[in-house]
Amino acid sequence: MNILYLGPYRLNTTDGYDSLNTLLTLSTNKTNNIIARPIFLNNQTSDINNNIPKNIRPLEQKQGDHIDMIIQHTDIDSAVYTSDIKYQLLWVLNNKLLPQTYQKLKYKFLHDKIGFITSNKYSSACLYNAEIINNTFYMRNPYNSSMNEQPTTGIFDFGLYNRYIKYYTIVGEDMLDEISDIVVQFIRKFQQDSACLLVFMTNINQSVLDKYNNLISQIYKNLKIHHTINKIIIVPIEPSINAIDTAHTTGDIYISLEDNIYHTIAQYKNKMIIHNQSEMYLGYSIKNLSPETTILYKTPLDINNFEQNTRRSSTSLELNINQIVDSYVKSFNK
Amino acid sequence: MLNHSINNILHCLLNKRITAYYAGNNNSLFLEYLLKNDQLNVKKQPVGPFDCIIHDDPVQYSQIISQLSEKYHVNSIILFHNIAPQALKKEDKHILYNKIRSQYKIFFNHGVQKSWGFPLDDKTHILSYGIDRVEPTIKNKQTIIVNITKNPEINRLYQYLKQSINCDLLEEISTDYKKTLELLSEYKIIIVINDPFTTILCASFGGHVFSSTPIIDTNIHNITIIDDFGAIQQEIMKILNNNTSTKLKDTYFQTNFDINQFDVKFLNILHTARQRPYIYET
Repeated sequence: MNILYLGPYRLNTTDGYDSLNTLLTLSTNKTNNIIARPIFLNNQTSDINNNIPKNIRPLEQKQGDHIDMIIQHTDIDSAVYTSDIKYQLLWVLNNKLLPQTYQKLKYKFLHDKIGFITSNKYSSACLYNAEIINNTFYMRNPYNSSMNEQPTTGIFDFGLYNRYIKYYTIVGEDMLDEISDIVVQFIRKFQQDSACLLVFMTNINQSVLDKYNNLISQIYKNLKIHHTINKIIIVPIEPSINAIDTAHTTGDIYISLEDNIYHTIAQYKNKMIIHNQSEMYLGYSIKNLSPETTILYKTPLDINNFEQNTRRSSTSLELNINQIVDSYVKSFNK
Repeated sequence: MLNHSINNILHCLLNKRITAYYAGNNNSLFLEYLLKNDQLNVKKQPVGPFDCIIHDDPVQYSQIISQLSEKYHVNSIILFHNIAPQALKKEDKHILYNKIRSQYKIFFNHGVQKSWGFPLDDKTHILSYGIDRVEPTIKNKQTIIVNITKNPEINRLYQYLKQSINCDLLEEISTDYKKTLELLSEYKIIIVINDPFTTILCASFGGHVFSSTPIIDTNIHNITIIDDFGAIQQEIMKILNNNTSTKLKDTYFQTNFDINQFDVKFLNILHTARQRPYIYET
């Protein structure tokens, strides 16, 4: 089958990272002929990845006057439907739960015509809000090791924290509730230990960094914990392959906030993983937090609650991109 | 229908006929030729999908390149009709080159390419114009000034000239493009300002052309380059009184400005531009 993949794989962003991984995974299935075209979204031309793996370029050189399937990895505003192509899949880049009214109309228009891919709870919630129920495929994103042709052996240097046990996670900007949750847990549980918490954050600027640092100070204050050493560090990083790899090499115990590619890479690198995929509703607010606040955690941040050297087996609902392609074609032809 | 970058990408892959969006601001006979060319579909508005962008003002284009190409995800072809402005320093040309180096460039003669100082690479082409043939007509009209761009300066020149000589003004191109060419071919003298294509086209009709643009083709003798149009009346009267015929043989234009060859080469460049995926490079 001739498959045209359109995605932001040339961008040095989290979406670009996901897209590159997906494209490489697609290209591993040699029964399909993959043609790739990059998309640059929302004027993100300051975030160009100039070091994409060399096996991507031949996919871009290919022409195709006959395309059987198109996979669009883009935002809902840019997504199109074309009657020229039989099979069409759309993986919407959208971290907002609530699509606007005009976007909902577009979802409805596309619903009967194409298949949707979702890969995390945000895009799932978005599709749910747009009343997209059928023809949806949940993607598990296996890490494609050819993404990093030169694996890094470097680590980030944190000075005196280097000898601590380093709990770590990797997130984008908009994870305030999740970060608050693990910070509170960490301070209550591990403040006295030789442990630190590293929060690697992609795509953030100084004002966001200040916001999170203020949050951490607020939590310490509300919990009335005096500390001479701040054991929680927000680390801004690029969403580049090297930086993500280095983050994983630096940290010891990965705190997984959702099933995403960072989780998959942690598995691939045999890191200890703690699942902290609690619901977004915390049941308390930082403002009212005090040493006496009782907090019930759905999945406590517990060193005993980790997985090691086990790859989580996918549920029957989770597929990789090649399985989604096959599954969609089968369901289309029923 | 709104234009979507994805629609453009699909159009490049799936459609045989090339569609181009002309993003410039200039009316010209060259543009009119492109618009009427049935081997290619050129539009002046970004409505519906297209395969590439054509622009004919390199300096202006370099300032909007990000918005255009990024928004539409197609490659661009920049046309260089004129030599580089004198005000443009070497460093400015270097900056301009870097901004547009990943896009396709067409220079319409070696002299123009040299004046811009851009290196020759796989995206740089030197192409001769293609000149449409017009059947020979009797030249029973005196003088005409071409002002399709509706430049007020040219209009002032027309107002000045018509006080003393028989002079017409061409401001609109007929819906039948050939009719415009036939009209021009009836004049003994044609005045063309800042338009190398129209200068050569009008020279091919056999009359005399006064042009502000240096035309670096020493074989074309019926073009006079004028810096100062203040003294043009005397020059016009000289030509009219001498009634000299400096008509080049038709074969010169047919051989050196062959329209079919131009079409093939121009389309080939557009085809190459649309086949290459649009990649924003820093």
